[in-house]
Amino acid sequence: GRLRTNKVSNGTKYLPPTVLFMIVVPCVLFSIFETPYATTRHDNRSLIALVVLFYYFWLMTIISFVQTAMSDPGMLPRNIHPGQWQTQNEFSSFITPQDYYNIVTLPAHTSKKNHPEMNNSIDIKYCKTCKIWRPPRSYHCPTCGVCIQTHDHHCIWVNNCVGQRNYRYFITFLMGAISTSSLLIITGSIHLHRVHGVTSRAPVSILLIIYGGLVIWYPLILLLYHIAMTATQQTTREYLKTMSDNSVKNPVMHPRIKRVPTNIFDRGNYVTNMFSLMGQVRGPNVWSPRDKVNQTGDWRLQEW
Amino acid sequence: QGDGVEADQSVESESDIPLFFNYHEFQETYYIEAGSIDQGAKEHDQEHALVITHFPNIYASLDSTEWETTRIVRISRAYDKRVNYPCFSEYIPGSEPAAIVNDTTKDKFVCQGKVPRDGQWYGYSSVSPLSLYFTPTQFQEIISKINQLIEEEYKIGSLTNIVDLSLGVFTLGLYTWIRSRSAIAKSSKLDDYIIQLNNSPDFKRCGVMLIPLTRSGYLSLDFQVPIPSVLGG
Ligand SMILES: CCCCCCCCCCCCCCCC(=O)O
Ligand SMILES: [Zn+2]
Ligand SMILES: [Zn+2]
Repeated sequence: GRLRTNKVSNGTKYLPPTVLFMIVVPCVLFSIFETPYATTRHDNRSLIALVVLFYYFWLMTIISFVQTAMSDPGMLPRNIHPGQWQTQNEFSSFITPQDYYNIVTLPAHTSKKNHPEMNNSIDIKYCKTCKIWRPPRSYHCPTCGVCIQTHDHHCIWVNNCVGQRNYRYFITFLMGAISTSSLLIITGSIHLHRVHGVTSRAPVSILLIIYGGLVIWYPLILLLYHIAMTATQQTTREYLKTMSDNSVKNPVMHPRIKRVPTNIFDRGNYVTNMFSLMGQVRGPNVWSPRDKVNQTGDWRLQEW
Repeated sequence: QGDGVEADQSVESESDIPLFFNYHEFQETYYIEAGSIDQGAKEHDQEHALVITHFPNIYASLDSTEWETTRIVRISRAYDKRVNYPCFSEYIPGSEPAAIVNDTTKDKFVCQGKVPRDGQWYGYSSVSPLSLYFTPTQFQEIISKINQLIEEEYKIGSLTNIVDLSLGVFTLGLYTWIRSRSAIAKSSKLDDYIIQLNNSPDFKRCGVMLIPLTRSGYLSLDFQVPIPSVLGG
């Protein structure tokens, strides 16, 4: 497994197993009550096709859930950019110069040229905890204790950050969960229809339809949000920041997902924007605490 | 200070256009002058501040010889070229648009003062010890090649990424899993190029080494250089 210090708060550490349970239980019920029904009725191949599709999307859901939870979200190494090493005292340590506390504005390239009157610039910041000059769109996650590349958000349901290296798994998970829930509703409805709506002859189908109808909403709303945010070239974090800057009190109930004119990452096209975030290159794992090179003196693992 | 126009504020003040500079460097005013070591450290004005252009070698452990004998010169990311994935500055330190310049030293690093805090020698300008080993053209050629290899690794429309993305999703991660164990995934043109540079006679002769980018997390391009010092310092 991963070797890293994860300060899991007690309140949320049961959430990932709960989600896992919520994925596994309907599949068990489906296998006992729906699969035998569909496979014994040879007159209907399309029902069997739906059952096959159910298992495919169920596997997609559970695999991408594990990938989102267990893979590296894009952790940046620590202590790459310390200022000075003070050797004067008995206790040697790194010193962060005053200049590193400033926000640095640098010229930036942008593919969008619709605001020629504006200077294209980028603000970069030094992470005092990690002692690194962070690339744009990276943020420090206090829960994980590291800076994450293209940080989207820290997800308490998977107990991991969602960032550059696992965003595609997260989106796949949402799509899988929506598809699986839809198939629960569809196959259950067909079953119910075949027994002429006599509920006592297919009680579990009713249960699965209700379950599918309940659990579909959360991933569906989340996915719609992510489609809108990526189309306007925003991560969840950037979107929430813009909302709080514009003092929108409740961005979930009153969403205003619009393009930000000053966003230098905007590629000027909804589809290109969406693909550039959902399909972003994962890039190499740059943390690899498992590689045995120089383990004892490895500054990347130190916290000061 | 630190807003990209630190080099010549009077010239740049009429426009807000930020200029590129190496954001790793900072200034130090309390130091021992090279010409008068016996007089000890004293406070200097901003005009005569030392520019910190080399840093501790955090790729070596505290008890190693490398820690004692080498320093790191950090090359910044060049956001004016690319913002979506790494790209490093092709300016040899000291030649950036907003570099701190000094007429007496010009484009070669000179030890002009010793900071008692860390016992290191620095100069009055953004020119780093790298200037002793590379000409601006040689430097530019190396970095531009590295930038090109990074682009191949990170380009979103590359065949590798498109195939990995689509097959990765449809085979439920099986493709990604198999690929990660294959030889193609483990070999990297970028790593190979850096290894080749480090083994080249030019690098070996000067004792210069490039730190592999996976170690620095692509945050900066780090050159390991011999510790700069003056005789008797
Ligand atoms: C049969 C399929 C069941 C699917 C069960 C879905 C359970 C919903 C849990 C969704 C967790 C999504 C993670 C959200 C992360 C976040 O934004 O904080
Ligand atoms: Zn950090
Ligand atoms: Zn986190």
